Amino acid sequence: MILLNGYVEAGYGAVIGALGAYGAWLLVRGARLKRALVPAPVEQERHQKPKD
Amino acid sequence: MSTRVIRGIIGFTALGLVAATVVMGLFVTPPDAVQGNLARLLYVHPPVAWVAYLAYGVTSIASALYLWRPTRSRRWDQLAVASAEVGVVFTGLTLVTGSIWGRPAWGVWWTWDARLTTTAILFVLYLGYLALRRIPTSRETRARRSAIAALIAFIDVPIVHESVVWWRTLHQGATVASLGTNSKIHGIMAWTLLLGFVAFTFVYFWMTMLRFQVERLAEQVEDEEFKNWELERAAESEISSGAIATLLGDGIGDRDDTLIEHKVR
Amino acid sequence: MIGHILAVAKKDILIEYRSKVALNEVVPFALAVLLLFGFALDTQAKVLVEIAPGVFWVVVLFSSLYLISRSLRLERDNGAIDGLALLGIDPIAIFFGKLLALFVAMTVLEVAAAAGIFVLFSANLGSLLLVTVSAVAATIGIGSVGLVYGALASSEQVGESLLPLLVLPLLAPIVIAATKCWSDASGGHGGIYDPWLKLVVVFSVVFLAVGAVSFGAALED
Repeated sequence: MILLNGYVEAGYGAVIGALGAYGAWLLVRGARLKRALVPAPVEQERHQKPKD
Repeated sequence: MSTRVIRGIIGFTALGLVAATVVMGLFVTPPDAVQGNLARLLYVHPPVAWVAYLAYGVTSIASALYLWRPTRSRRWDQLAVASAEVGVVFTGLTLVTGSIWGRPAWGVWWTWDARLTTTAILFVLYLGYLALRRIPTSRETRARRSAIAALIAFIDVPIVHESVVWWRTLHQGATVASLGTNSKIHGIMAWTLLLGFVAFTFVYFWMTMLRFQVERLAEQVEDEEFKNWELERAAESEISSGAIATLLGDGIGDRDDTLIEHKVR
Repeated sequence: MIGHILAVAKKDILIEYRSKVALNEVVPFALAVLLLFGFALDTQAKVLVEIAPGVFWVVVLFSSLYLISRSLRLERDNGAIDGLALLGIDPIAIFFGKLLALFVAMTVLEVAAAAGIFVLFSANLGSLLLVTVSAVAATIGIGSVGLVYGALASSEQVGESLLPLLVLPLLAPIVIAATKCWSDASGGHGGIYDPWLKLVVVFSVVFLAVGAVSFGAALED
């Protein structure tokens, strides 16, 4: 249903949609990178312990 | 931890303010006397454009601070790219909303209006900046190169704007009236526009902080991967040197080990 | 300093003179594009005359990208730039030397393209002085911006495909203003005080300074 004139809805939709998508993408990317970082220190310890 | 909390607060504030802007803009404010419902785009288009300029301003300042030796720090480079990427998103949205407004108002999707043209050039200019950053090279080289590029772009923008304004005004008698100048803004409409500016500025801060964090994490992951790779290489050479040691006798093998450890450090 | 500038310029011009890349590749490319513009616009004589200045600058700009890439490839190949640095030549001198050589190459290109425009598009000049001065200033501007960005984007893998994206939006004011200079001149109402000429000169002076200052930092790796 067209509430106003179509253009207004398209404009608001574009802004909300694009910003929402970009924000969500950033959140996902951040979470993924964080997950990639967590196991690394553990592995490093395992590598280094026998040396010390 | 604390920056994360602050980012969360800013994020939710931004979400709330944008929701309020949408409700005010679409449902509460009355249609404009001249432009009717179309004027409702006014509550988002100028704020989005403002954020684009703000973002490029931040990128320029961060780039200058990176290039200036006393303040040189990875953080400025990370801030510059974070702000530039958010700026490109907002510039894209400025063009899209401007175009959507222009179609019913001017009858065309695009007009060679001075501001519109400047914004389009800005968009391409910073797409180039982001592309320049994607050239594989060392972090320091990339940071220095992109900081120079950002400052050159910053110097270019006023010249582009000036030339485009001249170009349009010398060409056709009157420029197309830009958004909003032909409609009176008052009362609740003015407040809604102000709300829009505040809301999208909060969105900018949230996104830039998040993008900044992503950039930092990405660099950390890269460092970790490199370190692991180095450790693996060291482990491999330890094995091979061990094998050599058993072949040649203990004395030489031991010395090899210490040598390799030095290299790893 | 002057000696170094001339030495660098001489080196580049000599390489160009012996390889003749500008003459054998870039100038024919520009002429081919001019022909294509004629086809695309269906040889409507009136349109061609009107848009001749714009076509000229667009063609010159695209063709110069080749010259700029080439100018920087000379330094990148075999680490030639390190040799210049080892000789103790100031990056500013390298910049001005390369700009001088690029200017010469671009002038050859512009003369050829202008000749093509006159014959194919039957364009007219009006004030030769205005057109020449604006072309000289615009060439300096294009060359300065191109050299800095060429140095910034210099990379074995992607550098050269990136150069147009970086340089073209930046040079938009030059295209607008230099085109307007010629249009004004051919319209008969352009003098040496044409406001567009001022814009071209301002742009070129600004980017000449920016280029001289930042070229060294852009090159160093």
